[in-house]
Amino acid sequence: MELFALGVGNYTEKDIQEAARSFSGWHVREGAFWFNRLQHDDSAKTVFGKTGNFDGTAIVDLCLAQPACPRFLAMKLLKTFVCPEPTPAMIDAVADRIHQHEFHISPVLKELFCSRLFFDPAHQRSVIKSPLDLVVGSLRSLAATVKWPAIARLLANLGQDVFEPPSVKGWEGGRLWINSSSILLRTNFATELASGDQIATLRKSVIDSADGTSEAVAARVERLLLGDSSPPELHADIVAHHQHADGNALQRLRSTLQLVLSLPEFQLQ
Amino acid sequence: MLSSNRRDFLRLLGTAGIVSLGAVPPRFLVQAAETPGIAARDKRVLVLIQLAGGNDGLNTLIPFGDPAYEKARPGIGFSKDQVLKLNDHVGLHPSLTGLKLLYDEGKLAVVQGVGYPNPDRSHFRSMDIWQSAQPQNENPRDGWLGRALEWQFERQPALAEALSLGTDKLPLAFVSTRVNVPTLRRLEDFQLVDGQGSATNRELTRTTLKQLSGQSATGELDFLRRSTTTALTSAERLKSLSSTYRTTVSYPATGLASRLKLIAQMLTADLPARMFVASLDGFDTHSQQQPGHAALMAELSGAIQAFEEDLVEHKLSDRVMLATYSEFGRRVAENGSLGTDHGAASMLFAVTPTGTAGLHGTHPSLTDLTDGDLKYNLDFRSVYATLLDKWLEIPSKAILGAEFPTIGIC
Repeated sequence: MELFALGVGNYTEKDIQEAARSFSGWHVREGAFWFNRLQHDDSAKTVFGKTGNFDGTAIVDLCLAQPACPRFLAMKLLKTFVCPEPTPAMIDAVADRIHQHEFHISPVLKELFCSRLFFDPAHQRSVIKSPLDLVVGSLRSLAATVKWPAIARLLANLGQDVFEPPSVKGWEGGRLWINSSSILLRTNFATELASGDQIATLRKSVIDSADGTSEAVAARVERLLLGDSSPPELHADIVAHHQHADGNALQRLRSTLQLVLSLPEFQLQ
Repeated sequence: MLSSNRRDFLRLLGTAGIVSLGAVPPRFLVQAAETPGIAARDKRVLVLIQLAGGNDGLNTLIPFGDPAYEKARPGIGFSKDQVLKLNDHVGLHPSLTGLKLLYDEGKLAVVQGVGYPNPDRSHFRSMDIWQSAQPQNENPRDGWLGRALEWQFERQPALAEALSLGTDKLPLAFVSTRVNVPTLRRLEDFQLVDGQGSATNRELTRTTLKQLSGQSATGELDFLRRSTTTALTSAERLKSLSSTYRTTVSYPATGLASRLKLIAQMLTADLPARMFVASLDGFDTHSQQQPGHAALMAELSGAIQAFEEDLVEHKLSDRVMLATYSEFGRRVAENGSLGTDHGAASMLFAVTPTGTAGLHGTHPSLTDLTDGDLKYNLDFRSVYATLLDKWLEIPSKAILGAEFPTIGIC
């Protein structure tokens, strides 16, 4: 109720106690669910003001029937995919779709990813990338071969030890990904990926894009890493950076990749 | 006159082009240049050492003369021949030789019986209480030093600078809604790698990145730009420090010593940060306490001793006040695993340039207990009020929300 369905303030301590009685007898035995009828509390329970001889499945249904549930899920989806502080109107709209689709998340996400909300310029690059988003996203854009053990260590140092969340709640995310140390680690990741081969090598198609005018190379890098909505005000600075870089075409491309991967804009999605 | 370190530092500012940055001032660097005339008294520095896990106060300041101590600690207690005696009743843990020297030199204050009402034995909750200084607030949003930094920022932004060392995340003590305090987990995390590009391209990329991060924005982008500027300028500054700082003091090869040495380096370069929190972890000594606790005591003592020697060598000791704190002491009676469990009231150390050294307060009774725990006789907020009012000259009532009597440690 607290972490995955309703959120604090939408249930009472008494609801928790009564719900716990409903789950009595639930076990895992030899890796599978097992219901021990002898340990189940068969007496009446009162949860969310409703009284009955509820079992665990009934409690799940009662949680889903709470108006707070679709709103809580909508909030999580919006914070993950749209913006850090969704408005009540946005939450209500998505919660309504969750309700309509009877909690099937896939159609809700399909709608969300095609929505005006999702493509609203105000929400472009407004969510701070998690270490996984940043690192795996960069590798997908650029890398040929990847040294995964080094990547796993990097993710842990960045605060996201994959499959080892700090608590059952998972990672808090958002601004908590960012501190002075993690910024420098993110910057060093950009340096290593763009200029070295300790964590990954660059794809041939990326290396082949090194030739051309500064204007053309900058545009290609922006499109590759920042997408169609690359902020136009950055373009002149990225072109100038490429113009002033020294070395051969590949070295200048690597330098430009390093800059764009380090930009605050690139830490957002 | 500019000291040579300050001159090197200003040269660094010039070459890095930081002074000419845009709307977001990298204050940490710029203000050293803008305010050369900060009075010496305003350069007072507070260094706090967080003993995380709950330090066993009774085996740190040991009431060896008390029969109740021997009775409660048959397996892990120290005898009067082992302790470093301060008087006929109490003595320091045998590994605290450096602190004993500072005590004999009249620099170390030992504050006894520190705690707060209705003690909580959860590490998280009790640490939140110590760091927020708001025992009533179940969900504190900021810390006492964070609020002090905000107060300072409104009046003299140049002095609202702080740094956290050795912690995974910013300690709640430093959390503020407006002032961004950098965290430094390990020194090696705080360096930009050079990579395999040319030096020219490296400089070009860093300069461009700093310029672009220096522009103002809104929302998350603004937050990221400010954080990037803080991180880059701090890393640059730390790099330049290691080339200018010299000391004849040999610091022990421990984590805490390296953190305190870094603070000494920053002070030597006359940078404006005036509050530091350095963390020492591992005090949650539930079993086989003696060897681990002795190692922690040695790390604490050796690091502080070297730090103080270094400050004396650089004529900085008048400016630096150091104090320790921990979320709670441990239970009076040892447990069945030759360890101690979470307790309540405890003691803390302060190395003070201005205050009265020696013992402060009275040692809590070992027989008049609350649920097996020591009773506090000094509210920890009195220690904070003293550090705020008498050392940092920041009005404690505004920060702590009430008046607390100050004590003589500064």
